[in-house]
Amino acid sequence: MKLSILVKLMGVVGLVALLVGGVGSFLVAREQSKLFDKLYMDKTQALVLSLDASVTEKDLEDPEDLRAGIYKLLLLNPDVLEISIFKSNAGKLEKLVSTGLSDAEHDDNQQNSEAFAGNKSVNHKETHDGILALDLFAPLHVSGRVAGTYNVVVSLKDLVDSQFKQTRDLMLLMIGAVALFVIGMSSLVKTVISNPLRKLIETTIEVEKGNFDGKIEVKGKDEIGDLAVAFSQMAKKLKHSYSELEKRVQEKTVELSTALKTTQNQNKTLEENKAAMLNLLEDEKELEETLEKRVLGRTKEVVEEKAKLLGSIEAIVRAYVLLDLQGQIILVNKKLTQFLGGVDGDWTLDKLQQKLGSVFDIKKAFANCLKEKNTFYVKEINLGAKFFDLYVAPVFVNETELVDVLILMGDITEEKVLDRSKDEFFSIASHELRTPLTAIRGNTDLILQFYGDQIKDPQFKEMIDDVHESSVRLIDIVNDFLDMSRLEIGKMEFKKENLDMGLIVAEMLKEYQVTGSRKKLSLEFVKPKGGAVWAVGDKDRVKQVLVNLIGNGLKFTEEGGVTISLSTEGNMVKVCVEDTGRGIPKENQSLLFRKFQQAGSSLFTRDTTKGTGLGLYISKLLIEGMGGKIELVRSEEGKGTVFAFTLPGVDKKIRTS
Amino acid sequence: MFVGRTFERIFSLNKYEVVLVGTGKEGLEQVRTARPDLIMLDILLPDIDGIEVLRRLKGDVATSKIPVVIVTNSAEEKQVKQARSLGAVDYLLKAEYTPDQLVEKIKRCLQTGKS
Repeated sequence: MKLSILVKLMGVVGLVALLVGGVGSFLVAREQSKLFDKLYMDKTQALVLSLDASVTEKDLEDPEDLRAGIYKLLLLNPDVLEISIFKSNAGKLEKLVSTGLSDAEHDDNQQNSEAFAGNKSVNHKETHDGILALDLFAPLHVSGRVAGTYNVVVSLKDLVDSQFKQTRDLMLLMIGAVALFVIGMSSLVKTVISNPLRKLIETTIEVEKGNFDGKIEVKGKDEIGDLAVAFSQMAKKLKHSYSELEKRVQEKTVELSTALKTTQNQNKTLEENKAAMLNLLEDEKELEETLEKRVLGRTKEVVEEKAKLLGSIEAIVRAYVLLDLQGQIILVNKKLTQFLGGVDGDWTLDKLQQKLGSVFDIKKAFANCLKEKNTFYVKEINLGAKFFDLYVAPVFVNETELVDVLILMGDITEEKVLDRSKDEFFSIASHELRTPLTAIRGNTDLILQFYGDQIKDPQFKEMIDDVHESSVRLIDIVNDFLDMSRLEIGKMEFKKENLDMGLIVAEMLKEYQVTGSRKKLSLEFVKPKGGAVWAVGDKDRVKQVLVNLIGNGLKFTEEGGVTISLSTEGNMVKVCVEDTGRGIPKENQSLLFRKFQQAGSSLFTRDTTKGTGLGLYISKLLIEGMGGKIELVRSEEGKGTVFAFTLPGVDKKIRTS
Repeated sequence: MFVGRTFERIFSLNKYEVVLVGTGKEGLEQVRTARPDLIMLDILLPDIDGIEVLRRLKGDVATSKIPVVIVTNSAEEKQVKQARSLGAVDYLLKAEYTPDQLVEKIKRCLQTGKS
């Protein structure tokens, strides 16, 4: 919006005039108000003083007259809103008389007690119905002493009203004066400033249009006249400048066109650079594509790898179950369903447990595997007609981090069947082989025993002897072979009997008494001190070992004899068999307990009269099967040999109970 | 049978009265008439197996008191256990005894069986 200078000027003048008037009237009103305030104060003071003077000792006791006087006072002075008189009673101020509108407001004890101390106070306050009032507290004097206080509230309503009226009149007067002043000023400004200025403006518009020859007819000798002259000069100068400018513009245009050409050249170079950049980007893209191809290749490899892995899991002849640590089944192969039969939906640990029933607690095995981080192996689970073995194994990443649990089940039904037929083979073989041999041995034995005197031909007798010896040897061999086989496949069962070892040794020595005396060898038993020695073992098997050791001792001894001693070593019972025989060569000692090893022979020489070479090997298996150990204590060529074996002793508590 | 005959010989030569039978059925029949003091029984028989014969012998009041010794060359642990639980006095492997030892053993079994 365009406001002429005139309007603006008038506005400013008007505002200044209003400000001056306003401030003036405010100051006047304030002065007036002070004056009125003082007037009211004086009036109130006078009231109080007269009140102070009029209160007597009697009034303090009986305030009836005082109250009547105060009511009269209130009626005469409508400005007084309230008068309260307080009486001092043992230092405390009690209300004696109270009148007026706002009884409830009288709780200003601070001011009241101040007044009792002699300090008069006057404050402005607003009563509950919004009337501005003077609130006065003063000491009450009766008979020349301070007997209490007063409180007088005087309305300032009339004062305020009269003040407002005066201020309003003053303001109206001021506004009228200002209006007159402005009108006068405006006509003056119009002739002196506004008109010449308008002319100037018109000429300026002409100059703006390019007409520099416009004349300004301003005749005044004042500043505006000077301005018009200056303006004409400026217009002339402008005209000159303008033509100069045009010339310059033409020159600049030429310069610019040269610059433009340069810029165009630069643009071209930039364009070329851009193309190069694009090529570079293209290369980048190609690189990316190659990379992508490579990644795809790798992915394919990974997929193939995975397929291979899955294929190999399918190819395993065992059922394969991979579980996470929460027992969720991640992967199974088809063998699982083949072995255990199908289930509805996916396999879970629960379903697996259902299939296994009470035969095997797979959940417990899983929990144990997690806890112990060890592989559990179950040798045999029998489900119906089938037999399985089962592994529960922890799966580690980086050898330490447990990630999964693997269950593998193998169908061992075939092996079981084979095992059984092996058992049957041994049973049948032992019967079939031993039966005819028993007949041969029994008969030759009977011939030699009962018909020996009928055989006159010594050669015939020798033949019968040979047949008998061979049958005995053959029975021994067959027995050894069968024992060995059964021991080696763990088929031999050992009874756990409490054995009085002294008794057993004595029994054995009795059996060998005949053989010993035939070779003129001594058989001694060194009994332990402190009563019987008890061991745990299978009586027949222990005897078998003793037969082997005592038999060997007698076989290889020509002079002296065999001594057996018994002792306890910690929890074990130790049996030593010592002979005074030819001894075992050093080089053969380490091979003694091996299969088919004969003490005196090398691998290629065999003494068929000595036995099968299985005796010590079987003894070793027997003793170990019963929880003991057998060893060659010492052997010296020409001096003798000591063998010893141990057996677990009997727990004393159990034996005595 | 020739092993049986050998055994028959061993014991008759040692002054024992022996009745030899070839099959399980025959044995179960002969036991009723012969009334032996002791029965030596093999496990592997042509018709019924020895364990079954033993079960029938022990299941019959007429024969249940006669001591039975298994004399065989079949040494399966299962059979040994079964025979013992059915009341066999002993379980002997033929091949492990010479005739003398066998006679000695049986003599002892007769004594324990009677007592």
